[in-house]
Amino acid sequence: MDTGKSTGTVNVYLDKMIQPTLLLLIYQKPSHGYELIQNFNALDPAGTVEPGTIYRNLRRMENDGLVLSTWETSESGPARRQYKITALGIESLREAAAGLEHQRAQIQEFLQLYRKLVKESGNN
Amino acid sequence: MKQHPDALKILHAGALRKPMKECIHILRESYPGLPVELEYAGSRACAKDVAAGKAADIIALADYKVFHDLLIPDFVDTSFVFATDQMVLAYDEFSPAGRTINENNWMDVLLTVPGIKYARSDHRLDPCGYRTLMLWQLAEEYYHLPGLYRRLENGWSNLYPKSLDIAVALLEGKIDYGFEYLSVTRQMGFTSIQFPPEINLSDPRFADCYARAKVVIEGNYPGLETEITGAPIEFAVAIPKNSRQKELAREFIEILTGPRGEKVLEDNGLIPC
Repeated sequence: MDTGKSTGTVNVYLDKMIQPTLLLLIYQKPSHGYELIQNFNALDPAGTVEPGTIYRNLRRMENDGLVLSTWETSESGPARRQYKITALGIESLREAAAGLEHQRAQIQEFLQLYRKLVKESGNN
Repeated sequence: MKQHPDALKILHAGALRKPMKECIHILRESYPGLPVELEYAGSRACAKDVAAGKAADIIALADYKVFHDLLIPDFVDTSFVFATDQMVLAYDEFSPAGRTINENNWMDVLLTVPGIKYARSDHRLDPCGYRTLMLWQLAEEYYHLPGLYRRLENGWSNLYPKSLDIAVALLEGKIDYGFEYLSVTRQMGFTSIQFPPEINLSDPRFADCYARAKVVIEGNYPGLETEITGAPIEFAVAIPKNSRQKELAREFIEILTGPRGEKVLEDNGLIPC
């Protein structure tokens, strides 16, 4: 996942994916920040999102009522703040997924038209 | 130090000096005139004091592992992780080669510029010290420079009990460069070389990579050694079992880990977590 880097002459900004991705991971399993940063990596192979950005987004999401944190103690390690998704968070995740479906359709239409025009003009 | 029987006693890592003071100011909004005794040292030194019977209501350290190594379960039940940081190389406008040093040549500057003085803190007393040694081990691998760790370890000019002492020494011009936390560097207004996340001990994504670095220090008993494995930096706080002000200590920790404490930590260059 790229936070605002250009993928050509048109900038594709994906920084708005940070919160939906965190919500998705927390929806999958209540987690603490350390764990979320590690799991975020699987969805962000380029590794461009810094830990501080993840922690700040988690706090922002809690302030907005999307997640709720509690101290989770473990037998072998320290207590860490664990995040659980709220009803508002689930609704926000649903909206994000719907938005992405819409964007996917737009991108597919864009690519279909682009390929058609390239083919017609004889360029590739 | 003059002691007050009802004072809230806080023992903390030197690197947390400024944020701890600011959180006390917030606590005093509810308890005007509350007597507070604030002491600081390297985190391992703090923990050893508590294990030796020193009275404390709150202990805040630069590495949660110190709690597990020296205090849990006999003196502390559990610790709470509240902030992260990263290792940097701090310097100021008077440091030799300050205009040319960068992320790629810092080791050449430290090892080849004549008369240059660089410092680290003592790994036996302070996590910043063993984290510096880990950083050097990881740098040797990352930059493909065999022998770098040994050369850096042989080349330092000054060794300090805690990370804050490095910053003070840099301020006083006793050293030119110091391996330090980014938070302390920012609090003191220094410039710094920031290392790649693969070696700066800041990023849980590189936890496996950091774990390749190991430092051996003296253990809990004479003659015993403890091996410390590299890991992302995590500051933690706890209430010792011998605390006589547990309720007040809990309120302090709620401030430190709550919205106002998070702002204090952010403003002081730490990342609340």
